[in-house]
Amino acid sequence: MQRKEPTERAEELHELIEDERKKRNTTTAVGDTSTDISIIGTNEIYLRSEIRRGLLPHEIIAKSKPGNHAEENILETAAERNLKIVTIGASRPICLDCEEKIKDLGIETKTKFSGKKSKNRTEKP
Amino acid sequence: MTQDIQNQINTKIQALSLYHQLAFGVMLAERYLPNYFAFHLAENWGNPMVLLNGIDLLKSIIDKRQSDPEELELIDNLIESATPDLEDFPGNPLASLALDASSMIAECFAFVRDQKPRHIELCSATSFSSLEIYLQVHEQMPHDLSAAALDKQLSDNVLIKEEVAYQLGVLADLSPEPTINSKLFIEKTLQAPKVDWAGLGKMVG
Repeated sequence: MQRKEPTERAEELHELIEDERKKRNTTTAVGDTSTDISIIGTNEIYLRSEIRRGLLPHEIIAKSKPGNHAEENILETAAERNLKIVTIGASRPICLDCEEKIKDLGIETKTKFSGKKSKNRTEKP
Repeated sequence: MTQDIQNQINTKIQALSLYHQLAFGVMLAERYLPNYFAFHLAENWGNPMVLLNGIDLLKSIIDKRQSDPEELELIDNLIESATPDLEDFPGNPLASLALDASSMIAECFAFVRDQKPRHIELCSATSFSSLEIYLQVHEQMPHDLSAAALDKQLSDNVLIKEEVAYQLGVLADLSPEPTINSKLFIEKTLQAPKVDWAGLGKMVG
């Protein structure tokens, strides 16, 4: 089956969250690997059930780590599984920290960059 | 929590009168305020008074059977500013629970505006969603369970069973449309299942 472009798929999955505030204040991201596998990430500690119910057989869930954005959870899960992310997309603009990591790894994205660090994360050393 | 049970709860919500639907939403939302307080204390962010004032305003709207559009806009903006963004608190379960608490109150106000029962149904779903987060962290469940496997584990859990019984019990008690007053809110809040939310922050670090 043809995979959707990651930004489009991330937005599609994120739309499964009906609650407007939860939709605005959380992020869903999708990383397509060089294999048939896609990795789904969230900036929450666990992927919410409404998104989990919408996953397709080729989509696996990234392990969330405290302090990590959805994109970082995808990159770390891919590294742990020896998978290479080739394209990544998120349900909202990608922050400066994640932009740098994505660019360093030569990963492509159609998601816009915010050009800003996240407020709380900027206070971290 | 299976979709069948949620559908059963939703049907019972839809059968209530408008103000009893709202009272059900407020009863659910009020229980989760301590989660917001826990987040506020742990992260020194947000404003619990906004949510407390929101609950007070909702109860006043139920009591007076009317709302002021200006007050609704003001509280909506205040709740928006006091709701954590997970981009700033990534992977923090207390932030997720605080977001849920804010969302439930915001959905009650959305219901006041358009009277669509879906908002109250979302309060019920969010209540289960908060419990799911708690259980996944507390039981250290694998992150990559399929939706079906997670539903099975959660449906078998005593806390989820208690929550289902609690919500159905409250809906049954609201069905004859009793007078909505402080005594009713207190009674229903005291009947709610007990959850040890406090340990969540320590577990994740």
